Formats: sequence, structure tokens, C-alpha cells
Amino acid sequence: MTKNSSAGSPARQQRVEQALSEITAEAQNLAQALDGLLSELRLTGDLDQLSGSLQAVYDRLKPTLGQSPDIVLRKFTVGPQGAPALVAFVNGQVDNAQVDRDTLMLAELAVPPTATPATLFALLKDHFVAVGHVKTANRWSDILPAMLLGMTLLFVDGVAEVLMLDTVKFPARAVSRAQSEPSIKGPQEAFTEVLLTQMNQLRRRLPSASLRFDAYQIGSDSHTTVIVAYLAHLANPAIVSSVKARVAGIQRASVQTANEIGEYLAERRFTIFPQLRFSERVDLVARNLAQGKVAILTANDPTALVLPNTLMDFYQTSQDYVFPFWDGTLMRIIRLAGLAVGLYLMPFYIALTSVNPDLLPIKLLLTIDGSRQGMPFPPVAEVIIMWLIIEILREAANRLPQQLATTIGTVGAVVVGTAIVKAGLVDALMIIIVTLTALGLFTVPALELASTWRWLFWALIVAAWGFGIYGIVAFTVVLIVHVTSLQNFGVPYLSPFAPLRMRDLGDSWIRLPFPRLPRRPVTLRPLVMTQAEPDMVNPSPNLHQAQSRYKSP
Amino acid sequence: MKKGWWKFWTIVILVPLLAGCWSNRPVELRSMVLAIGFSPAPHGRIRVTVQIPTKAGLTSLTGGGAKSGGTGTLDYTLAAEGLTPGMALTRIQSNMQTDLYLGQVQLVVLSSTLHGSRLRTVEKYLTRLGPMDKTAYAIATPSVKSLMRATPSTQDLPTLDLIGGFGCTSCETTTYRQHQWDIEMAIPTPGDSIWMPYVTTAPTGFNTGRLILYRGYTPVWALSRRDTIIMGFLLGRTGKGYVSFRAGSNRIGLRTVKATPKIRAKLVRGRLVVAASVAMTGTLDTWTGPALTPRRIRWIEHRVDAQLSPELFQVMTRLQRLETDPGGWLAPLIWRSRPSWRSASVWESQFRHAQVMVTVTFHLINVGDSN
Repeated sequence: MTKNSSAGSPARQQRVEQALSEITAEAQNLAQALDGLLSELRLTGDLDQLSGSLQAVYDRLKPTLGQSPDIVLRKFTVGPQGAPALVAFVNGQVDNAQVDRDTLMLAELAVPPTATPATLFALLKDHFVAVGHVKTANRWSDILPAMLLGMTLLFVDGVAEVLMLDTVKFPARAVSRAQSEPSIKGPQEAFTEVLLTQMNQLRRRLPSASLRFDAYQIGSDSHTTVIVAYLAHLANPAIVSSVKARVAGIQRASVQTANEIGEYLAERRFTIFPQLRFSERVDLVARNLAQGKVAILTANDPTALVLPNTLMDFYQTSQDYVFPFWDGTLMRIIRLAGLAVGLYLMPFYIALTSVNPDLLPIKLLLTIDGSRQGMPFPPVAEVIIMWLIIEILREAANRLPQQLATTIGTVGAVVVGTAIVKAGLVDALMIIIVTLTALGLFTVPALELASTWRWLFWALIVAAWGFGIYGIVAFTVVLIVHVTSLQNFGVPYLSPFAPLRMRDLGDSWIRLPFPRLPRRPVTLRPLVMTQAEPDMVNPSPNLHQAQSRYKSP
Repeated sequence: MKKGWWKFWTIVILVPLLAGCWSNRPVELRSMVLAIGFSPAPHGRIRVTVQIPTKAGLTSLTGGGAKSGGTGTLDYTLAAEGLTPGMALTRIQSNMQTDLYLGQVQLVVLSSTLHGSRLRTVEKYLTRLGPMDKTAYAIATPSVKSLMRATPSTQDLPTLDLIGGFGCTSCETTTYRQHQWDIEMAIPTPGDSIWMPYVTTAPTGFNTGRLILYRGYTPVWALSRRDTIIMGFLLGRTGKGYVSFRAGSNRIGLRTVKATPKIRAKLVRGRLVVAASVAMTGTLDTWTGPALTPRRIRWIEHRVDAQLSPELFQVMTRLQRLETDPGGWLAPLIWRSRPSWRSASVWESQFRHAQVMVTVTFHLINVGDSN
């Protein structure tokens, strides 16, 4: 005991000394920060107001942001007279070459000897024509976020304003292929994380004067720029203003992803059906804008939000439009069949083998009965086992590189499936049904809807297990009632089927040829309905003579 | 709680409770009754026999065409006696480990020796039996026990082998199938009588192609094969009828004979008249006479008319004598204008004394390869 206490005393003393030194350092920092604030407060009487004193600016920036190694505060003089100035920027978020070049030029700037700080400031502002944007500000609440987002600040002593130079250049990846919405034909371009690039990508596809990008800064900490994009001559003003109002109303400290914006925009927060379409495909977003929809771009997230949406929108992909309409229609019908199979095959199997076997044809029932002889678990337990395996395989495949993911799929499908049947845990028919169910649910083109069907699949399983066919029917009725009641920015979620919009049916589960789709979706109520002139069939009646009259010499 | 929520919760609770779908039991834990038989037993009791597939029988279907199932008998039968069918079934259930499941009964086998009050008891029980599938086929047989133990040469489940013929309407000479619901509809209908296939066993399986007719709940006539075909013409259920007879020195054979009967019961000056007009078509299958000409074809058609008319008339008059109306020909008349005939004794008596007229019109639609 005594030995322990005598051994512990120096260590404890060392820790106490260390803590005291840390507290002292923090107190000094705090004192410096307070000095910086007080010095400006004394000059302006307002903590947020720029005083014009370069020293006060430096005193304010240095103890706070200046402690960070990526913050550069550089004092220098402008012109031969040596007017004091200060440049502040975040290293890594700016184009260093541009900053260096401009700073050097400032030093050599010909400034009249009689120039006051105000005229010097005006001269500087006019000088920076090469820089993309030059803005002035005089409030710290505007200045600091701008600097942290990559602007270079130029303070001149004696001027209560700052020049904010757009020297933003942060690391960005190149434009790549859309990973989550692949298409085997047609455009492959995906958005990047850089908001400006996103806008450029859209602008290139829709070089229309009415393409609007309304910017909002959301997040008191993140200051994330969010863009509301729409075609002003098309989009329903009520929808646009509603979207803008909701975006502007988001009060949140930090916004890092588009989904965080999306969950604020959803009309019914707790419905399981997605109301926003997320897409990284530029062509899909451009197509939707051209239909009269609104897109929301979020800085640092390559996913755009598209709204308003109907259930049918989640089954429309870019691929449908790059193939001939017969192919597009076939793909959509296959998706519908996939949905029916994925959602209902397993519940019906459970219902018909556990609750309502009287509804099965006798030979099929006897076949199922024969295959289930000796099985240790009831069908619903087998479903849980198999689905658990599928979900684990799916998650494993998601976490692995593409090459290994294929292997995992093969291992899961062949090895585990065969082994589990041979082990007698699950009957062979169940493997077939689970495989078909999984494949059916994989046909959902929109990721956000896939999880919806997976949840509902389980609800249907429970309904089928408890109440058989009756349960399935009752649950389906409840589901239809719910979906019918949904609205997305005033657009009925189940349109064009409920309410029935005959004109919109041409681009629903079927896709008519483009000349037969002269109007935009009625359900969006766009300002301009017509998107194509009437189809001119055989515009040149003499063409049939081309084969006979004009013969090659 | 908001106003109106109690209604919501009442519905949410009541809908599952009143659904009546709580009989959740995996199919492998049920004993699937494929056929259920009823026969008389001593002391006024009823013997109920159920036929259930064995594991070998179940797995015999798993491999599809290539039977991959195990070996052994494909089914087993259990029998018990009781004052009512319900009591007998309860006794069978008490000897089993698994649930006796009647939802997939494919065949109801009634003993032809079961009649009167016992058949009435059986039919009332079957009508009230909720889980019982009314689409099951009903047949009569002289021995339920023999039929249940018959082994068809097809190595298929016996019941499935037997009902396989009922399922294909275009395959049968006469579509003589009767569902349990047909029986249940005919019993309470005045002017209608029960009839069903009469099946006996043979070393290779089952002998089908005959009918048995009932007067009320009493079997009165097990028809021969020939009479069954004639009966099929009268009932309009012949799909591939075959008729062969000698006309002078020549033989006439007809196949694919189809009949479209129009049999109407009407009152003429207070007397019941049953007029049967049967339009028939068929293919000339056998003709041993000279080469066919249009005139000779017409002659053959007349000969067929002359041959079949008396046969149909004979069957009709026998039905009269037996006071049974398998076609339900009197039912529309009773329903529309003779409600006083609703009593079985009345309409049966009226039918017995009715004037019967039969007209057959035959048309050859194909001469086949007779030339």
C-alpha cells in the first residue's frame, strides 16, 4: 500500500502539471480570442461588424481559425507605398498558384501616393478581373463561412470591408459512370460531388435560358449549398415555390447528404413509400426537368433529388428511353412481373401450404407435400433462414470489390443453396421460390423503392402466415388505400392509374414511341403541356419512288 | 384518443378475429384425405373409409414425369363406423397423429348399397361439412372397400388415376362426372334426380363408363355401357360416342357422335308431355356397303335415326317407370307453373304417366376413312 502510494505520487504530479499547462494554454488562447473580439467590439460596437483595423482582423482570426494548420494568414503590403494588407484563405481549398500570382501582382500594383484606403480598396476590386467572382462583405457571419468554403479574403487596413475572391479549387474526382443506375446503352454520365460541375452538366443538357438554379445555404455548421433547379417556363410555380419554401425552412447544424434534405421535403414523413427520386444520372435528371419537375442539387453529394414523383416514376429508367419502345415496354412489364413475383410468390406459398392448402390443385399440393416430408421447420421459418442468408450475401457483396462480389453471389447461390437442401434444413421448392423472390425484388430499378418492397414483403409474409389468402388480400387492400391516399407536392402518388390519367398511360407500364407522346405528364400540371408537335407520318409521299425512278448510273 | 379512433381499432381487432383463418398448420403436418367413402354397417351405422397417401405416395409425384419417390404402397386406408359420418370420422382422427384434412378430398365414394335414410344422413353431413371441398367428384360403387384398395397398373395414386378421366372432358366417351355440388343441388330440386358414375374394380384398376341412377336417395338403375351411351345422348354429355349396328347386310359404325338434346316438359290439355328432340352428328367410321354417294349418305343418316330413336325411347320410358329424372327436365316446368308438384311423390307420379316423344335427327359430318 505504502509502496504503491510512493510510486504513484510523481506520476500524479506529472499529470497535474500537464493538465495545468493545458489549461494555461487554453486560457491564453481564450484570452487572445477575447482580445480579438473586444478590439473589434471597441471599434464598432458590434461583434459581427468588420472594424477596418487590420490588426483587429488579425487578432480575431489568429487565435481562432489561425490555430489550424490549413489556415493561412499572410500580412503583406500593397504597392510602393506599402499599404498594409492581409490575405486569409484555407490551404487546399484554393488554387494556390492563383493566390500566389495575385498576391505578387498586388505588391507591384501602381497605387497613387494620394490614395486613401478606400480608393485603394476600389482599385484592388477593379484589378481582380481575372478572378471568377469578387464580392465584398463587411460582416463576419458572411466572411468566415465564405473563407472556409474556399474563398480568399483580402483585407486592407482602414477599410471596413473585405474582398472575397473566388479562388475555390478543391480536390474533385472526374466525371464517371453511374454506378447505382447502370444502363447498357446511351448516356453514362454521373454527377460529381462538385456543385458547380453538377450545374454545368445540367446546363450542357438543357442550355435553356429558363433553367434556374436557386441557391440556398443550409446548415449552421456545414453551410451546405443546396440548389433548386427547374425550368421556369415549364415547372408548376406552386410546386416550385413550395419546394423553395421547404428548402429554405430547413434549420439544421450540418447537412452532408442529399438524403438529409430529402427527408425534410417528404410530405408524409413516415410512409414507407419513397416520395423523392434520388439519381446520379445527369440524363435522368435533365429528362425530369424537361417534364416540368424540380431537381435539388446538394454540394458534396453526387446524388440529385427529383420531385414530385409518382410510384410509376420509380419504375422508369434511362434505359427505357434509349432502346426502341418495344424493348422499353418489355423491360417495364418484366419489372412489373418481377414486382408481382417478388412481393407475392412467397406469401402465397406460405398461405397455400400452411393456411389454405384447399386452394391448390391437388397434384401441386401433393408435390409440395412430398417435397416437405421430413422438414424440421415450418415454411415461415424456412423463409426466415433463407432470407437471412440472402441479406447477408447481399450485404457481403456490397462491401466487397466487384470481382469478389461475383464470387460471393456464386458461392451463395450454388454452394450454400445446395448444401442447405442436402442438409435437410430447407426443401428444394423453397430454394426455387426464394431465388425467384429475390430476383423479382432485384428488378426494382430505384434503390429507394427496393427497401420498401422488402419491408412490405415481410408484412405480407406475416399476413399470409397468420391469415392465409385472406391476410394477403386484406393487407393488399390496406396497401392500395394507403398508396392512393399519398400525395407528393400535390401530385397523386398512384397517378396515372388513380386518378386515371389516360394521356399519361402512354409512358407508364408501357412506353409508346416518342412521336406518340406529344404531351408532358398531365399529373404534373406543367405550364406548357405540349412537348412535341403532332407526329407527321410519311412527310415525303414521293419517297416510295426513290427505288424505281432514280437508278444508279 | 382522437374521435373515431375507436372505430379504427375495433376494425383492426375484429377483422383478424372474425376472419376464421387461424387454422395455420403446415401441409406436411396434415393427413391429406384424397378419397372418402361411405358404406352401410351393421346396426344402422355408417362406415366411413378415408384414403390417405403415404410418404411414398407423396414423393412419387415429386420428380414430375420421372417418379423419384420411394417404394412401397402409395396410400393407406382407415375406416371406422358410427351412427353418423361425423362420429366415424372422429374415431378415425383419434387413431391418427396428424390432422385429418378434408380440404382436398377429390373423391366421394358412395356405396350403391347405401340408400334411403343413410344416404340422406351422409349427404346432409357432407353439405354441412365446412372444410370439405365441394368440387370433389362423387361416384357410386358396389364395394367401397374394394375400390379404396384397388391398385391401378399406372402406378399412380389410385384416386388421382380414377379422377384423371373425369378431368378431361374431351377425352371421355361420355362426360359422366358428377361433383359433390351437383349432388347437393339435385337433391332439393323438384323434378331432378341424382345420378353419378358407377365404378367397379378390375385387376388393372377401375371399370368406368357406367352410370347409376337414383330415385330420391335410392339407387334404382345401374346402366349398362350401351345404355350409358344412350343416356349420355339424352343428357347431352356425349363427346366421343360410338354407335355400331347392322343395316341389312351392311355394318354401320359411327364415332365421335355428339348429341344436342332439347327435352322439354309441357302440359298439353292437362297431360304432361315430355318431348325429346335430339340432334346428333358423327363421323362414319365403318361402312361395309358400296361406295358412298350423297344419296347413300342420306340413307345412312335415316338408318341411324331409325336405329337410335327406339333406343332413346326405351331408355326414356324406363326412366319413366323408375320415376327418376336425371336430366332435371321437369324442374323448369315445376318452378315456373306447377308449384303444387314440388313434392317428390307428385312429380314422380306425373312423370310416370307422361307422354314421351323422341325424335332423332342425325347428320354425318365426316365420312372418315370408310372409303
